[in-house]
Amino acid sequence: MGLEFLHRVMRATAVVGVLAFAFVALYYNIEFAWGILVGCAWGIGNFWALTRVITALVTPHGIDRRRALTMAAIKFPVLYVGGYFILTSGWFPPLALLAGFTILFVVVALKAAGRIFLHLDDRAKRPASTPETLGTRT
Amino acid sequence: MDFKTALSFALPLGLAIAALGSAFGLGRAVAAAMDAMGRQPEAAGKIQTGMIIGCALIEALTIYALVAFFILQGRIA
Repeated sequence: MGLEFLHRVMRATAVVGVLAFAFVALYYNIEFAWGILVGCAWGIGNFWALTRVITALVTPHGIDRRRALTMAAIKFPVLYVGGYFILTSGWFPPLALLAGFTILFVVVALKAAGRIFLHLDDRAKRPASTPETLGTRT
Repeated sequence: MDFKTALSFALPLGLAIAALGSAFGLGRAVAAAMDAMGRQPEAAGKIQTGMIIGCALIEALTIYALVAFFILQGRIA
């Protein structure tokens, strides 16, 4: 489970957010649906920026200061100032924003649970030629 | 003390406690990750992934507190 897991999570969250937008717009309320979509985008943007900041700052190979400062300068405005304007604008219901923001964490939890229950990490570690893996091939 | 006055005191206090807890949590997470990376630099990718997910979850709790603040703020006025 490396950094590619996080990229898959962000892609899956975007897909779930668009599906939730379409579902809620059709069956409930268009304003609430836009709130979910914007909250989802806010969550993805925040997660992407957090990933970039941490990979730039917390690394055993030395810090690229310019990249770290640039990402930190992008991340905190995206999270806090952007969130403040979204919340205070009154265009979207706060509960819808919260629901959209939560989608990413639901996706992370479900993907992690899937990896545990399907034993994906164990399969990646096990050599291909062991009798156990040969027995599972069909 | 009526409901609105109590809420006016409790809201900023609650948000401050949430921010403080989040700051402590993030600090501990990053310190532990740096320590682990120092011991096992070859596992840096896995440690970073776990730390990013943990940091995002910690931050999300602060965001929830912020949103709750905005929802309840409307009841004061």
